[in-house]
Amino acid sequence: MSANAPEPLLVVSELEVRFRLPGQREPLRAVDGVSFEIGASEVFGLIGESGSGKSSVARAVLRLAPIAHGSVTLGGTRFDQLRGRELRRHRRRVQMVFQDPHESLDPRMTVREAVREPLRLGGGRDGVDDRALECIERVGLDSNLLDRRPNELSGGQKQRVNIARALALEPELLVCDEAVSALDVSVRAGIINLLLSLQQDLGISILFISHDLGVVAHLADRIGVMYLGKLAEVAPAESLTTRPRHPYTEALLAAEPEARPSAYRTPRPPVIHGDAPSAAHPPAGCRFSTRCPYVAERCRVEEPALRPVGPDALVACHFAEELQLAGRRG
Amino acid sequence: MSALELRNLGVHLRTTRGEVQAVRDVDLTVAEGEVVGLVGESGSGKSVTALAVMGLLPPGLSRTTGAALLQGEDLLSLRPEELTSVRGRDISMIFQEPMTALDPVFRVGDQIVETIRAHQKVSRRAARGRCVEVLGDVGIPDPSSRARAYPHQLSGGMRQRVMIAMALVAEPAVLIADEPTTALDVTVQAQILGLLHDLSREHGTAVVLITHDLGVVAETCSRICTMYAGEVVESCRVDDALLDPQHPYTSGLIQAIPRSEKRRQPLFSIPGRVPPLTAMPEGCRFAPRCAHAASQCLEPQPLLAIGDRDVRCCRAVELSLPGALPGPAS
Amino acid sequence: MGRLLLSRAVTLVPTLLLATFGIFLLVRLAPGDPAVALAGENATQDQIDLVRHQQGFDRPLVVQYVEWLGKAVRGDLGTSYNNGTSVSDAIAHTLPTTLQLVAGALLVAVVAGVLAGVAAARRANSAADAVITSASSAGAAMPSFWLGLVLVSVFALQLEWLPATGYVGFSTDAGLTLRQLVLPSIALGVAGAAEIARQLRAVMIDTLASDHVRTLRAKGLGERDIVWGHALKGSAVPLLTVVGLQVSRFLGATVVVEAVFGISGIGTLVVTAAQNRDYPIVEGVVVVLAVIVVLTNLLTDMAYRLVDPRIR
Repeated sequence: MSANAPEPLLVVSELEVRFRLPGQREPLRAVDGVSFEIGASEVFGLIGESGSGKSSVARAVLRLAPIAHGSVTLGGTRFDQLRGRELRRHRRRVQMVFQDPHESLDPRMTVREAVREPLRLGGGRDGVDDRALECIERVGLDSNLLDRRPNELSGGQKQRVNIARALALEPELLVCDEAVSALDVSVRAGIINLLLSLQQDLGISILFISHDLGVVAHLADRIGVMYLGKLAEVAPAESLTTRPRHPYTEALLAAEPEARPSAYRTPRPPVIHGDAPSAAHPPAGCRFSTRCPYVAERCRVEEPALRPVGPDALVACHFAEELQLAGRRG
Repeated sequence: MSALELRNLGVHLRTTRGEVQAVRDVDLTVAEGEVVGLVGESGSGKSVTALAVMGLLPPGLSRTTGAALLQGEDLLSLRPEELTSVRGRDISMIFQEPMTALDPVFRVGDQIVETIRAHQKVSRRAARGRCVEVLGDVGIPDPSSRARAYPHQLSGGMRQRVMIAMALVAEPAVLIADEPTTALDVTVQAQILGLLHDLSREHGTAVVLITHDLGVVAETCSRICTMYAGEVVESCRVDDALLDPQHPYTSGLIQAIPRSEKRRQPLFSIPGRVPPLTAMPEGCRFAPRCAHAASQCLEPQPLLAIGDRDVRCCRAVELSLPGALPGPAS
Repeated sequence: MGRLLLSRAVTLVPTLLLATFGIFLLVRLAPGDPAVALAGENATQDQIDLVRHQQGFDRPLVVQYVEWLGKAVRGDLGTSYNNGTSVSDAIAHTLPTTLQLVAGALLVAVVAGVLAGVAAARRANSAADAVITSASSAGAAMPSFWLGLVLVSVFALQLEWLPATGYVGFSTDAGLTLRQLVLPSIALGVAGAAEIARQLRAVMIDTLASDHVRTLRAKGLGERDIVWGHALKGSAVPLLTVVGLQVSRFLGATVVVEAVFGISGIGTLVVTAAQNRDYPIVEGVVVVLAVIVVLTNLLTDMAYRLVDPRIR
């Protein structure tokens, strides 16, 4: 970020999240030193496959997972160190939307009650109903749905209710963890549009976590790519997809199927082999070295640091400057 | 003679509210060595169609009409014992969740050996040899020791490879794959789809690939069959569907996919919802959500043959619908 | 597996302590004075007091317990108040008989229960299922002694197919012993069969509707192979749990069945002892039964690991 840019909204620094496994001495390092920033009114996409640690990052930012090391700073306040009443006060600034729209709603509550709940808990009493209605309409739902229960709503409608509830306390940051993955394709589009409009109209920042590169590339201003607990690359969405600088990013782009007629599809390198190593026993040196088509001796011994490469990217690869990697057409 | 031909297939399900028709008037043809994509969202009836063809729907609660011709022989007219022999030998099916699809208390090798011996009179040793061979064919490293593993000891991608091995070991003429990669990471998905494609080519297996992902269809299938609300609405070559869709629903699906040239712009989202099975409109089932609905759409819609395509839309010829490329269709 | 055995051995100790102290307390809190029983009907008060002092009944409860415990860990379970025989001998004499009866009941329960449970699950929600399910409920509700009396009345007295009472032992006459065990095993085992049938039916219905069974059908396996080769193994863990529980239940119900069929097993032993305030026998039996129950649980746990590779 340039020196003249305003203070970032969220700063995550050297974040580490560990889980104890039964019967294992070494804890699982789900997140092993991750640093990134999100500015005001910015959509930051975090992508990765299973075992990458992206969901653990989301939970750590939300204070739902224990932070073993590092810091989470929200608008200048050390969010990871707050407790008690201070924590509750600041929690309203970060809200979440999860993957399963149905599991996130209390089946006995009506839509109205679900959206009002955070307002009541936040201490408001006047204007609660008005604010609830405002949120419902903001997410594109009709007011006649206010008295329905979740089992009377479609998947897309339920997710909109979840978003309305998240908006109730006027958060500055919305954390979406696979928020559209469980929805049908045509319904997904509506939610993606909604999130974009929230950023543009309300100025909310969004941390959007997903395994679907197409969706993330559409929504995000900047994207972070995670592999086995670390960031491989952080770059603006446009340049990440057209000119990736990390071999794993290239592999993800190559693997993602493209819904275009054969004559118009981007020619791409062959798919990488094998499965990702277990997150409990990451390889020595660069974590991607076991599957990287460009691997050299140095990669197996020395772990690359995330460093600036080119005008706007951060890459964790020893050969980031030399490699000419294939992206998607712009 | 085609490998699989569905003629006027219908499925009726018994629910607490009486009998409803989940699938109606489905025609589908798959030639030897061809991969056909059966595309639809939830409620489209694509999985029910597949289960009906295989005879895997719960017997007391369903009724299938029409014909399902496997190399000329109607599966629906077979007696239960005959159908049991045909399954796994002449037609196979693989499912979405490899974790729950394999028996957790038996070794994977034993499960494959069991399949072999269910259809061929071979010794256990011969069956084991064939098992190791087929595990190697699907790309499992060190197959003889992997055969002794239990499903929970394998990764998702490995399990799906085992499922494919099990389904193809008897060299069936037809393979139905129901969302085989939806639960897998994108890099693994690419490997599995490549495997299916290669095996189909090598053995001449006809494949019906059921999915909601048009990207998967674009890269793996030669023809596409789109289903909506229990009916086939469009059936044609993949490139034709992507360049120049004839049915508004197909066009809507294509428009809903994020695309790099429309980055951060609102995506087209099909309004409304699929009508419930108990309240299907008499005329065109898509009309309530269609931007081009006219008075003739209130009539029941037959599947029309237009050139080498089938479309269930009375206005198909006059409409010019947007496809996968920017700008109007040709 | 070794770790399992070790942890079970460790839990055995507090279990036994708890069980034995509990019985110790209960037996001594029951009305009736053992000193009187021991001294005899015509004893004077002085003689009774003397007996009480000799036996240590006047000392605090905890002290009496600790003394007993000290001897028990060395294998000395004391001597019977009634006839002076060693408690260990009395138990060694009667336990095998009861164990054979329990084994018979277990055989009846498992065979009948599994057949009924599988049959009901395969024909779920049909008329046949309804018949089996109501028969199971009836079986579970039948008191063992009533069933025993009915069986004796019909099969022994009226039809004369099987002996009514008695137990001679395998070493004496194996054939007769087997026939003598048939009716009591059925009387004891039927309730267990009903429970097993009910639980197995529920688990099997779920298993038969599961994704992996759908795959088995898709591969072309016949229904019989699916049910007996796969679904049963898949349902084995809950099945083993129920079977293990039946063992404990049988050990309790054996008292009644032994009474009906005139079999002198451990049930008869302990009831007589309790009525006579013969503390040492009662406490000795409790120890032995507690050990049997813990061992049964251990065996069940080991069996889980054999059957389901995910539990390791």
